[in-house]
Amino acid sequence: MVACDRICCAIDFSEASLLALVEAAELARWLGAELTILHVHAVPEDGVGPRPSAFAVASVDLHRDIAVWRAEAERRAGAPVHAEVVPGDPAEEIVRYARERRAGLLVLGARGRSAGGRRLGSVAARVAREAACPVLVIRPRVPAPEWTEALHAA
Amino acid sequence: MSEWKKIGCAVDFADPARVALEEAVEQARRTGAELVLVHVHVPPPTNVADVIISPAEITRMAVDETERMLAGWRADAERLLGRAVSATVLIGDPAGEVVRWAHDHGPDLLVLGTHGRTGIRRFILGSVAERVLREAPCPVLVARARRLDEAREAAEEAAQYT
Repeated sequence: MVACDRICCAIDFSEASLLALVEAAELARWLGAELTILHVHAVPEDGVGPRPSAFAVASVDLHRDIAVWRAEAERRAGAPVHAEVVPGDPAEEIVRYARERRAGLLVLGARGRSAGGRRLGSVAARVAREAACPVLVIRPRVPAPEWTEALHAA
Repeated sequence: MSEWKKIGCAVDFADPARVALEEAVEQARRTGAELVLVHVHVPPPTNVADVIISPAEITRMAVDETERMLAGWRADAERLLGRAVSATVLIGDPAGEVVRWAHDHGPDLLVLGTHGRTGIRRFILGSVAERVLREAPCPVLVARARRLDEAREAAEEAAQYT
């Protein structure tokens, strides 16, 4: 990015997240930017979700999982990568984290694990809307139609 | 490895599109991808009672004006990137046409500006950007000026009055 020294890549361990991680790591390498990967462990706001102690239990697994992703990011970025796991509402926490850390770019997948068949998940939509910095939304590219004989005949 | 071969940048000649252009140039530089500026011309509604020249004439003038503006933006992009940039004009509904262009031409990335310019609107995504983000067949970079830069500019401006 134009003059960006901190990149934040939000992941939920989905396939789209992995594409986002790859792109974020490459950008970090190109720009010499610091990269943080962030996973927000969803906690419903109504308070019926996991209590702090439950998050502590889940976070052992999450930290182990994110360490694997961090290693992959570090290999691609060719530099140390920071990893964070925080509890809360994903979109809200991603926007807040990026703002507080003064990220110059947010990278995330277009749809997470809970998006169903939608092209754009609610987290990505909200982050794109509310972030204070540019947002790169990654999705697997649909290839352009090939110019085939069938089209030519039609 | 990023294997981005083609990057499309939507330009509507407003300030946020300038930010998008700069980001798109940076991405094209990084990936070596071809850069295409995409402008959608929205035909103005014509009211025969208001005009003394024909609607066809107005359309022609508007298209000439659009071509001239786009040539200027393209020249800026080429100067920033240091190599050739292409540009295309589409006619119709902005979000629909940008998405259709992406389906037809298969860019690896679309870059767009947000809509808002001032105050709280800065953080709101325009309806065109939101629809493109939702419907595009490829990754989308929503470009926006960073608040840090703006805070610094505001501080510098304030300093001039003290």
